[in-house]
Amino acid sequence: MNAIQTIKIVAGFEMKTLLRSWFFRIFAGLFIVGLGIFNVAVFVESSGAPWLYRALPASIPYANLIILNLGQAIVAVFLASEFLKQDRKNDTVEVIYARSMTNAQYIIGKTLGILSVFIILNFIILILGMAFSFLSGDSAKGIGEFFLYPILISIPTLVFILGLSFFLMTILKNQAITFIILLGYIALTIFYLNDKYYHLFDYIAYKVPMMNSTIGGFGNLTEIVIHRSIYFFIGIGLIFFTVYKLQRLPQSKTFKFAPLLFTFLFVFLGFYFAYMYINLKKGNIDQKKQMIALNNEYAFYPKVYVEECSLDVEHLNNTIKVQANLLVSNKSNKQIDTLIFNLNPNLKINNIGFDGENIAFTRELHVVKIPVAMATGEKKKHITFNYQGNINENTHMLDINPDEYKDDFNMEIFRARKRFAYIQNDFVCLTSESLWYPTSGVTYSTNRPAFHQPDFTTFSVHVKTREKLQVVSQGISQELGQGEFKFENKDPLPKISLLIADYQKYSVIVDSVEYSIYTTRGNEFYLDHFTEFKDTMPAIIRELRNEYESLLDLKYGFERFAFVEVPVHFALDKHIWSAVSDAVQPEIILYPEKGVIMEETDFRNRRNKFEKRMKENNEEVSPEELQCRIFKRFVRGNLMAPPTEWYQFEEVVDKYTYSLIPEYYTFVTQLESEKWPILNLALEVYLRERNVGNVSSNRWFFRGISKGEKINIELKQSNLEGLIKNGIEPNKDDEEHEDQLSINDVILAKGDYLFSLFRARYGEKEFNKLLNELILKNQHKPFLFSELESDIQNTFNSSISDEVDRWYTKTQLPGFLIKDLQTYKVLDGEFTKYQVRFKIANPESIDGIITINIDLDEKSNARSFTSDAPEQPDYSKKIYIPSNTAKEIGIIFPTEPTRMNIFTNISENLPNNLVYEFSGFDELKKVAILDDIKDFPIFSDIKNDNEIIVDNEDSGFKYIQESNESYLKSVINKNKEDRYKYSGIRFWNPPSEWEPVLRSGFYGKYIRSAMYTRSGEGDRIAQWNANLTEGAYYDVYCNIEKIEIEWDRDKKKSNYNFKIYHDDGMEEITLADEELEAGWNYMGTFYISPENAKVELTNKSIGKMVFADAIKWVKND
Amino acid sequence: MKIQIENLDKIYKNGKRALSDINLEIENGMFGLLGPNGAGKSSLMRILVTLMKPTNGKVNVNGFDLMKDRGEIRKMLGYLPQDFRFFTKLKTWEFLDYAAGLSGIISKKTRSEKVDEWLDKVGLFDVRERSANKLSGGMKRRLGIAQALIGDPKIIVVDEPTTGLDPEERIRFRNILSEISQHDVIIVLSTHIVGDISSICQNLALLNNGNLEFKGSPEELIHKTKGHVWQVNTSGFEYEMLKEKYAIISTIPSEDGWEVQLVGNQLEARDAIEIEPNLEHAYVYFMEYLTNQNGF
Repeated sequence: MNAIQTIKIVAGFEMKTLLRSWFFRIFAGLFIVGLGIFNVAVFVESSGAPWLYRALPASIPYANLIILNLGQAIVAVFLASEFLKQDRKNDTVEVIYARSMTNAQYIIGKTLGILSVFIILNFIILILGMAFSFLSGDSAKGIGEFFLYPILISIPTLVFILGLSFFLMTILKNQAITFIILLGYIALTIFYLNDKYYHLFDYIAYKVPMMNSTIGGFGNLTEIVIHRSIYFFIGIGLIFFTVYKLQRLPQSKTFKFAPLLFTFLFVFLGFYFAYMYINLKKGNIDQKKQMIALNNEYAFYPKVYVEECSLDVEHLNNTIKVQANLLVSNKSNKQIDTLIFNLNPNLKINNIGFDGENIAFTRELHVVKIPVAMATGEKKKHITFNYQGNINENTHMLDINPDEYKDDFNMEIFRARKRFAYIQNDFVCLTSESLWYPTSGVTYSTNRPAFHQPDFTTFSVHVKTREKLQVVSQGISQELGQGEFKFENKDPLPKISLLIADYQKYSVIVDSVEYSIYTTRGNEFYLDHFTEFKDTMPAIIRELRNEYESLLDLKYGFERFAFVEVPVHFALDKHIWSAVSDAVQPEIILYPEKGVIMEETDFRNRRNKFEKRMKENNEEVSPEELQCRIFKRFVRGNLMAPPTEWYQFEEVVDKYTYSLIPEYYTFVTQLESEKWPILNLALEVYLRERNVGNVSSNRWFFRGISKGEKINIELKQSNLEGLIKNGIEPNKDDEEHEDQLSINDVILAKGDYLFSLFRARYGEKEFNKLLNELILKNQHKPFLFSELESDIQNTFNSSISDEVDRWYTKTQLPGFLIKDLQTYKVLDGEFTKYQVRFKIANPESIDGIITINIDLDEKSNARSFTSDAPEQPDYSKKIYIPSNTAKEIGIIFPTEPTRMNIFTNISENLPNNLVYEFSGFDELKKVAILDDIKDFPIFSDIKNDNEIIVDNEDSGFKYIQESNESYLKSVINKNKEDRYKYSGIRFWNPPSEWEPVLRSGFYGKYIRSAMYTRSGEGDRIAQWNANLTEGAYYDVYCNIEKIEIEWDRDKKKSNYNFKIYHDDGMEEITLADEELEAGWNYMGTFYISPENAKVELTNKSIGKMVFADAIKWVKND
Repeated sequence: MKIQIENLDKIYKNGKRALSDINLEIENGMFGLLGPNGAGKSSLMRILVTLMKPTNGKVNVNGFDLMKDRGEIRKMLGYLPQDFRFFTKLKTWEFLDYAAGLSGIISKKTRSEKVDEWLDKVGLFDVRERSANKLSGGMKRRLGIAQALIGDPKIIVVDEPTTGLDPEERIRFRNILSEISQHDVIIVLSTHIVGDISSICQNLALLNNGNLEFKGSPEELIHKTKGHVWQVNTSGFEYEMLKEKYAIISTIPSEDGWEVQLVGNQLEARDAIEIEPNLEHAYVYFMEYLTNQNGF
């Protein structure tokens, strides 16, 4: 009997045994049912499952196996350790051991038996998914993925965990201990290790980016195969170790040590793959660092300006062969001795010609140095580059710290490897970031971090590719023959892109602009949803364009607009100098495969929602009108997204990702400044936001600190220049939630703030007009800051340089103090009106802006969950509060306001969104109406002179607690210092230690915070110590924010146990919830000397949690 | 077929000597291993079936070295261990099928036929669908016998095979072994039930405390006991005295007291009648007198 037959027999009987195990049956049954429900949910319309699950053939097998793999990794541990235990327990095993077979045959047979059982389960689940996928009308159908994912996900995981279980069982000889150790290991890898070292420890492949694209394949199959090989081979190695250690005499003395040899061999192979994997990942990082270092060398080197660039491209399978003819001039005010160009390091240069002569050049990575001198003002020199190769993607995103850059991203449970460029046999996608054509100067350098001033170049592209492939680029397109295209641009562009694929093109010309969509064959899923729409389309496009242009107050700068499909992996990160992603190219938007991560691409679902709403409203709409609405919703939600838009994949996509703003500004003109290069982005974001309405919002009590608040904290600690140079230190807590604040976020906020200040100061209409005229006169070329400065000087007789400099280099922020908020009724003639008035001061040395939003009627919370977007406020106003000034603001409403939000924007205020719920306008005052903003004497505090207030943010406050943290937790949390410290209020599970939280109702000068903790036996104490100047009678108050949590099933309200220290001892006071009011609550009057001025609060309470905020001592006269 | 055992020692890790300088030659036919519990029978058998390594010595099985050619030797083996109770979740026929598969019967059809044949032979055909774990003790032994014999092994090693079998089953088992032993096979049967050996073994070895005390035919062993087996009618005090001084083989109550069969070197008793020894007498005499006085 040969070895294979023996293995087959052992495996067969092991399978039979396992299939009869109730443990396995229950597990399998649960997963089959569970994943069956999951699959049904994915395909059933009403479930609201993201389109992503149905759109890509990879989704169903990938999702099913990722979920199953988590479970089977645990069950396999039990089954594997069980088999060795059974072997030890069953005396009958001796009759098997006495049979003629090698130990390897026996163990391999057993392992294969277990593996086969799991493969059967995988197969059942995949068949289930496949069946649903094929039954569903609008799902993508694929077969290959159903075979690939088990190989990539399940098999390496199972082999590894079986090997590890056998190994531990062999060493420890105890199933319970083995099981506990392995469960611990699994938990550690899932909850802690899987993100470390580029997912090296993620043996379950939960976070290994494995999304497959029908256009571009796996993001990086080599990385996946190497990663999975690590676990596969280590698993095999450990299985051989089990063979070696099996308590049975080996079949042959000669081969006794063969299993040990194989153990070493396979484990070594596994570790070698791990080494390769780390090297590959680290190699990319190191290469990026080298590129940055190289850029640093030449960052300030004068560069030639590329005026024209003609590219002759031949697409040869996985490479391109290019001849680039450049026309360059020296527009700098310096003599240039060496011409510096960028070209992707994987593109091998055959020769470079200068004015018709071949010329020697040197090259380091992407930097090409041509030793040719050009005098200042020297014009129109011809340079020719001949090169061939593919793309090294490390040239991309150098502006994000390579050590912190994440090269993959999440989409629901899927993970995809980011891709930046493709040159494949049937697909090419190249943007300027790929350096696929020579550009002058260098790319990102840390010495000049925000500097990005591309040349506005007149491009022409000639492309030869395979027959039947379609080429897309900027400019007027001409198909010269099968697979041969030419693109001519009459206006200069800051960059050019090239796409080649088996695209189907659909286009329409509206008002002389050609609107096209290029979709890879088979992915035209949208056609079925817009059958009635063709005739109306031009009108709708015109309407949308007019709508957007009136919002921007700018005109579209091109004659074409193309929407071109790229793989889902295409990276959507934002550069430090750009508000939008690289998906937005001049004239072109690169949309992800089938629009899966865009908003509103699930057209079926959107149609159903509209129809449901129409039914509710008794509205009759024709199919054509319905399709128009769907189309508009899609365009508005992605390309011209309002601030109210919510994003399903918010980790990857936000309102700027596909924004059209660069088509109106950045690709048409740019603001150049040597000193403050980031001004261009500031202007871009201002143009995008200047006419956008504000959003009214609640602050959900369970949410921690917001992005805007994090920005304020960062800007309080460092100036913009410093942040751009040094980047933002990653916050561990955010890293875990993949919610890291980026430097781009800070620049966008601060940029908008700067130009909004100018607008507030110079007048909205006048300032915007000035900007529009500046953009108009600089079409297709950049303009200098001096031009903006001079226009402002001429128009407003004011200079902005110093302010811009302060904005860039200083850390001061405005800060807002609000007091005397009053709400009452007034009579306006015979009408009753509602008056809201308050005083606001900015005692800091920097000008600030606040935004007031007021809602007039009760907006139900439930509505926010069911409607498509949050509500626009009924009243919204931006108010400029110069430094060291105060204003009294009065607003009159015909109906009763219910809530006011004051957004303090960039400021010292935390929270930066102060919410005031109006409980009633009962009082009718016979006073004059105030519907104005009046100057008011500056005030720098909100307390009265006879008050001493100690807030939880003050030095007089301290809290006492014993740490309850377990050792393990403390080790894990050791490096988890949360720099933003303020958390959300977890009413369902309050912390067992004091934690800071933010809320408008808490007391604070700028920071309205409190400490909160879980109720207990009084073992945690908060203490306020006041610095009284003299002994006297004092009224003592505590500040209480009453938080109503409607969803809390345990409705017990907290009471507060205070100890007030005074000269006669100490008074214990219990304040019941019903006695308490929001704000200051009187606790008694006591004679208190300075040394006795202390109040304590314990965590003893009948409610779930207590808040320690502020105590006030008011001296009696 | 021949098994040659030379100078075989087995010393366990705890220092216990299980076998001491065993030299033995086993040829075709039934070979009995006799000895009390702890004599070393199971150790010797586990060595023979390649489950355990000897400390010293050589075992040659039909030209194959036990230490070097385990694969070849295992191909010839059928083994029934002393403990044979716990099974994985397999039905009776499936367990036998597994054993048949591992013994080299590849064809499913042949395997199925063989399984049915052996289930029938050991009287388990009717319970073939029953879980092996749920068989009675006797049935489990029978299943064990079947699995050891399926695949026509050349060397069959059975350790205490009749333990737990009722007399009828024991006879059936003996008959099966007798029938098989007619072919070119070696059957090594270890037991402390003398009757099993006396009825079917051509040769036997007697082990005590790891030492080989006797090797030869049952007749030779019996012959050595001649003149040392008596029958005495006794009562009261004398019976107590005999029990202390001699090994009593049987005690049957009679009208005057007891009819006692005993073994001894010299009998100091009234009315003692020398009787013809059988294998049981020989075994007792051997264990009680000769081995304790350093044998023959």
